[in-house]
Amino acid sequence: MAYASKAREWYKGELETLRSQGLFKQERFIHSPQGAEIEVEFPTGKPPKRVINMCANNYLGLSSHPEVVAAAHAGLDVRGYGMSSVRFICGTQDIHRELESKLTTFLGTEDTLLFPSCMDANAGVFEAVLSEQDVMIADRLVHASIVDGMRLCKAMTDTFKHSDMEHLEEKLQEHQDKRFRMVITDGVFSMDGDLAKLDEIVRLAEKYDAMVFVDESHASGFIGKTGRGTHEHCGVVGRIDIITTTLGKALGGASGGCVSGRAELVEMCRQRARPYLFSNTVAPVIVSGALKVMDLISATTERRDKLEWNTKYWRSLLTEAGLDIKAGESPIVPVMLYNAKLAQDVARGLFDEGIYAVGFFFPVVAKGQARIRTQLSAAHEKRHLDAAAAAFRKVGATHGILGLNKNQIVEKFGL
Amino acid sequence: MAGASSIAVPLPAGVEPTRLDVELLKAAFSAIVTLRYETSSDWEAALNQLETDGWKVHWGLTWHAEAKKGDDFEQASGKTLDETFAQLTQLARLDMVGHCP
Repeated sequence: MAYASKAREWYKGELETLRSQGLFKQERFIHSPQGAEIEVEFPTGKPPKRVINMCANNYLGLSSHPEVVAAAHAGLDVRGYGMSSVRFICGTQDIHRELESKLTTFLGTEDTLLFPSCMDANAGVFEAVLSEQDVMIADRLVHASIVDGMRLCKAMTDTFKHSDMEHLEEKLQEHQDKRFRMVITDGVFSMDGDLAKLDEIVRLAEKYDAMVFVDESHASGFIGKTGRGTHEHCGVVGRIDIITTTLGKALGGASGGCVSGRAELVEMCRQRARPYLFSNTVAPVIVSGALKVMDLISATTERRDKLEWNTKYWRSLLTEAGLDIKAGESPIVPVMLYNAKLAQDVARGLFDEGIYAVGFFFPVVAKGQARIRTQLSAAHEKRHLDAAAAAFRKVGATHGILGLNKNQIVEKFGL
Repeated sequence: MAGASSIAVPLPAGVEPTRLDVELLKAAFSAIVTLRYETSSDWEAALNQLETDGWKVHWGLTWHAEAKKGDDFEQASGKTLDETFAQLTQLARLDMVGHCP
């Protein structure tokens, strides 16, 4: 038997090493729907405690919206629970086509294909449209799912320094001998919340005959004047060749993802992308909820507008409190702490003060870049943000980090 | 390997081969030994079967490099050292952390 005591002891040792290094991730059990306030059981076994949630991707506050829930209920009644099939056999309902059409219109593309998740979309898209004659040139901070998808593709891989357009131009010049070039980037980078310079990327791609791929998972629904995404913000709608995004964040928060873009590229995915061909279709209940989400966000921008206000207000509160935050405009606001243990201690302190925020440390972020990544939601009211800021001030003062810059924090706590 | 023979080749006095020199010499000797002594035809049978199955096969000597850091491991091959290490570098960069969910 492979899993003999020797293997078991080895894995136990690995897990113990993670614990001793303070790198062990612990789940916390939530006893309520997702929202601005949730009930969290932590530590395990303690009665659930009501806290303000500052770490969900629930950007538009739609994860538990009554109309979305009602639409999902109706979908269960009308279209059933599961399809027990991949898409191309007997897993495509009319509502899948309807949702793909609405996403196409919203994103300003030619066609869209649903996947079980954006992780699956990213895993499948490159292999479906590129070959060993081509090259993928990715920003060095793209999401892990994109990295995995690139590894599955036989095209050559290359990278450019994060958001460095001069370096990207060098790479595009270098790879003029390839059949196709594809520039790959996140729209909003999940670690720091900064936006890709899509206008410049598109300009360079058009100059050097390259396709452009953007993962809009942290942008769809709320970046840009009408929430269409980073491409709207940068004025390049209709000039992105492939967009992938998720239904698991702003667009309802359940699950599902998609590839959207040029009609031929999307059709290639429909014909060849392995996660599409070999994984179960998105469940009717998810599609039904997502259809309502698309209707809600297409009818009005009030949620993305509120999120924008919340974001500006939160950033001002943290800055006034003397916390080290990354500059930017997205609702991803990292509070930089650099030291992994400090990040965990601050997160625990915040929880004691009724604020739920999680410390990020190696290997999720590079060593020495530990942080608490706060995320805003349109569901947050001003009182939530005021209370959260007060907690950050209190816990920050306890740990003596208010008003300190990076060097000072590192000198005090180490890396 | 028990019983395996090896050959030591003295170099001229004062010659200090670089790491690259040593690898080139090893590659040259390995190729000679392979051509002279490898009698198994398993590789030819495999090649013939692949071609029968419709594969177009290109083969030849390449450079190979591996890199390991902690739990991460990457390897790359190429016709030249520049090509091999360029690919290895790119693969290693893909391991760079910084991919928040």
